[in-house]
Amino acid sequence: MSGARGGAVRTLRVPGRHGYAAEFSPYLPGRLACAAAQHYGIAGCGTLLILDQNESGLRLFRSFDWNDGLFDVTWSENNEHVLVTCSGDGSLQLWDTAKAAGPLQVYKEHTQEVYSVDWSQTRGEQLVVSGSWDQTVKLWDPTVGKSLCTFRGHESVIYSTIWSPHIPGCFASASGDQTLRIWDVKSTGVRIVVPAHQAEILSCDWCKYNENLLVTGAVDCSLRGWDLRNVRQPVFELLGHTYAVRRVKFSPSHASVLATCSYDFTVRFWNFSKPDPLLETVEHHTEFTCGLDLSLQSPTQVADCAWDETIKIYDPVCLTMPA
Amino acid sequence: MERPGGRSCSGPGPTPTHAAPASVSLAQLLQLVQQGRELPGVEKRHIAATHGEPTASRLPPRPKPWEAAGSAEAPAPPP
Repeated sequence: MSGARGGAVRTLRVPGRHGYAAEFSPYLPGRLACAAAQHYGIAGCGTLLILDQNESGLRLFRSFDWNDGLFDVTWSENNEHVLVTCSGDGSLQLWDTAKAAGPLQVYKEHTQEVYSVDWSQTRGEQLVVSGSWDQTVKLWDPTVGKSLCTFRGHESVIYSTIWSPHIPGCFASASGDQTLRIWDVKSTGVRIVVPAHQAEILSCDWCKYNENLLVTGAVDCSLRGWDLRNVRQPVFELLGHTYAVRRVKFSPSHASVLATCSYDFTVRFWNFSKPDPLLETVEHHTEFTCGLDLSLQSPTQVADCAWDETIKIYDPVCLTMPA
Repeated sequence: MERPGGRSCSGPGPTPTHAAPASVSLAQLLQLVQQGRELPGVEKRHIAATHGEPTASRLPPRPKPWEAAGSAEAPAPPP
């Protein structure tokens, strides 16, 4: 097989912490943030873990505790030291990796668990969007203590809120009400409602190479692609996971590739433009796999984290091979 | 169900003084929650904001891979 052996899996074990989300730094190659909770997030505290890679594996650079479980993390797009997490106690936290103690700020408005935070990807603004089990999405400027806006409309818990990487001020949300919704910060009412699945939708993401294309991942184990110009039917459906899809991400480097992680413990890689879209299944976790990210700097590198108390960084074979 | 056991149960009592097992299984935890029993080794924190200023940034933002690609043709999903 031509040259295509993936690199060794690098693992960090974090006893007593269950990983919920992983995000590569947009500034520093090899730096990863992981949001984790004690006791599977059911009770106890949370920890933000900052990892660095070196020749011998993964090193814990710094960790920060919080009073409740942490469920998501997003890096700042205008400061390499700064990130935001969200928590089971309904608050968001702003952290500085260059300081030993934290958080710098706490933003407390949501009345239930906050499951998703995302920092805007377009250059003109620095905004954070949060999605909560209180069924609302809130918009934040991290330099301001109160939210800028609250978006209502979802009829159940919100699991995911993601900014468009192309359309300024536009974000998507995925919910237990089985809809994918598209919003615009310039109006509090929803712009598009897509009844995307007949099951809770746990994750959504925007294609980085087609501004009209999104994907949803649901408890029905499926993924569906949606073109915003015609949302009456999905443009693709990907089947293969045997339990709920927990997180889906479009590749930042490959136009038709996306990655998923699932309660079936696996991570899978897909190319939606191929007739046989499943590229690879990675089975290196022994519990629910919740966190997943693809490196912005290295087109072959992936990070994931799971409830088995491990965080892994690796290069799946399918990403190291030419298309 | 996304959050087995729910989180509306009242918080546990004082932190137990005995050593906690490194990892309690999810099934064991759910059983404890349903029985209204104390969860072992729950670590309580009282962390608050420092209200400090962020460390000044010294690195320029990097372009995203899809921005560097410029006017690469967007792929169409299969019919």
